[in-house]
Amino acid sequence: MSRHSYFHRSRRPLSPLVFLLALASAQASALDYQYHGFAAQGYTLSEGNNVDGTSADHGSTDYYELGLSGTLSLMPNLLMSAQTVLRRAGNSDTDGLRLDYALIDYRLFSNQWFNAGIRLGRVKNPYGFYNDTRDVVFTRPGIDLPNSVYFESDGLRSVFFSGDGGQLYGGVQIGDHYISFESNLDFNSQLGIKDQQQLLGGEMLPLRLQVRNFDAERLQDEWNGGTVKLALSHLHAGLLIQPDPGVPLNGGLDDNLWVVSARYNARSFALTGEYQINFSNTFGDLTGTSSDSGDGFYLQGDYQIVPHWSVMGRYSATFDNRHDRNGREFASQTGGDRYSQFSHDEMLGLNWRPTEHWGMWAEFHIVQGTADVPPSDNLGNTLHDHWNFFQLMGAYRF
Amino acid sequence: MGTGPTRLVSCAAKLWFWLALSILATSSFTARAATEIIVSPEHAEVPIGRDFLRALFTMRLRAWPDGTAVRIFVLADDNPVHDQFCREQLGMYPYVLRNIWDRLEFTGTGFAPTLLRSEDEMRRQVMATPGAIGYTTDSFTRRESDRTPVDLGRARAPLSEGKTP
Repeated sequence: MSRHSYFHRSRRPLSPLVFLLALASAQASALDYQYHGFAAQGYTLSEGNNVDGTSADHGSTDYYELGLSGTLSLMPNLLMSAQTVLRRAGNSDTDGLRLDYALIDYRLFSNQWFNAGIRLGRVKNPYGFYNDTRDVVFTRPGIDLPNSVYFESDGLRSVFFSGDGGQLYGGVQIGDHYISFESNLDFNSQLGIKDQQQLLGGEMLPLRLQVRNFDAERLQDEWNGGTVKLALSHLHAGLLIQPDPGVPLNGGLDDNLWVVSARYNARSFALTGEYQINFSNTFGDLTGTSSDSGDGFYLQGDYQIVPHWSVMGRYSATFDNRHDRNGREFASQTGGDRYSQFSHDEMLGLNWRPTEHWGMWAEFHIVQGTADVPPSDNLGNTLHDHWNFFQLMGAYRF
Repeated sequence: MGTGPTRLVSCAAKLWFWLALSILATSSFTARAATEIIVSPEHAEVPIGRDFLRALFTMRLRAWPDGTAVRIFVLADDNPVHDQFCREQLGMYPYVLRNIWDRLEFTGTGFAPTLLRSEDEMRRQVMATPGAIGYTTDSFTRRESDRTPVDLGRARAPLSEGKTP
């Protein structure tokens, strides 16, 4: 963590851009900047199915994250910030270098009881407790976010994470409650080709997918300084098939997701639970018009054993169809594997934070079901219904 | 007869008694040392209640009422003074505050506070930086005031409504 004020502490030379911004600023003495970075390297060893690359048998190191961010305050009520990230997570995220966010944040009103503002640019989407910080392991509830709520392995990560558009935000202090609200509206965009392939089960089809009518909202209550935190999130996204020329294929889907989140922070332990329910309407030549609804949840406990060391336990469950939780209906109708319709993931983990800059995580997962198995890491493989994996991650931040 | 060993035991007992008493005195003194808010001299008269303090330290409030940018100074998360300040003055746990700062930092929507290494550095930085706010212990203030009496007037009394969750 580094913070500097040009006119009080920094001895760095001013770049021409910063210099111009400084001149343009009404309160030049308030010009402040901060930059941060993080680097994380993971190792995954699995039995049965692959995660984060070819992890079965010999293990995989194809999981790393590198990020660099900067924030510039032109006035107390005006911020500019951006972050670039280089990330790889097996074959489910091979997008390489990307611009995570780049935004201007203007605070319209601000006092101790009430604040409101607007963010424009590439803005992170509010969804659950962790979506907007899902790129940094230090802010995640473990090495990976629970798939049951955050769709980590489904090719939807980039769509969920941030979008080009705008966000209105605000908060109000009422007694011992701080109630905040964020609402995002994104422009239509095309889903990245790799994300599309992941979403379509690893298949390359002669089409592109357009993400449209995307909006995300979150209402949150932080009670007694965040001792209890409750949130309700909603996310809506449409996907429209744009077939290659000459391909007679039309259709798409319309998704609504809701998440209820709760967290209790005690002195040496924390309990977290989130429940996600999604409603999906598909239309078009292939599927006709149909409706679908899946859900998922996780419960996690974190306990600090001694300073700098904590253990965590999590149970996470995903159901592709909440009316067919054991997949038997799916199996009888399609002849497919019923285990592909759900996932029960039990995790035990250990976290060590020797200093504010370093962190080490170790997790062991026992999984029943294959709904959370990343398809692109397992192309051509017969999936194992009962499987497990071990993950290690070491990370540095500044 | 046996005066040697008896005297030795007696001496050892006395030594342990005084040692224990001094440890007790030290620990009770430490426990009694309350944290107090310190602000830059030009904002010394701004009334600071707990809601205001929370709004400042959770970075929701970026400017003082006169428009000066707020600059937050803190000690490390595992520093006992920081822990005491969080619980006494903010009614929060250090790791909850850290989660809020991490969120701001990695979503590009705010600044993390400036980390300092000691109470001495805290006092110097807060006094020298316009718009600054930090904290220290009143025992530290008392020790410092013996050397520099002028500093005492700039320290805030502990908030009466502060409580430990």
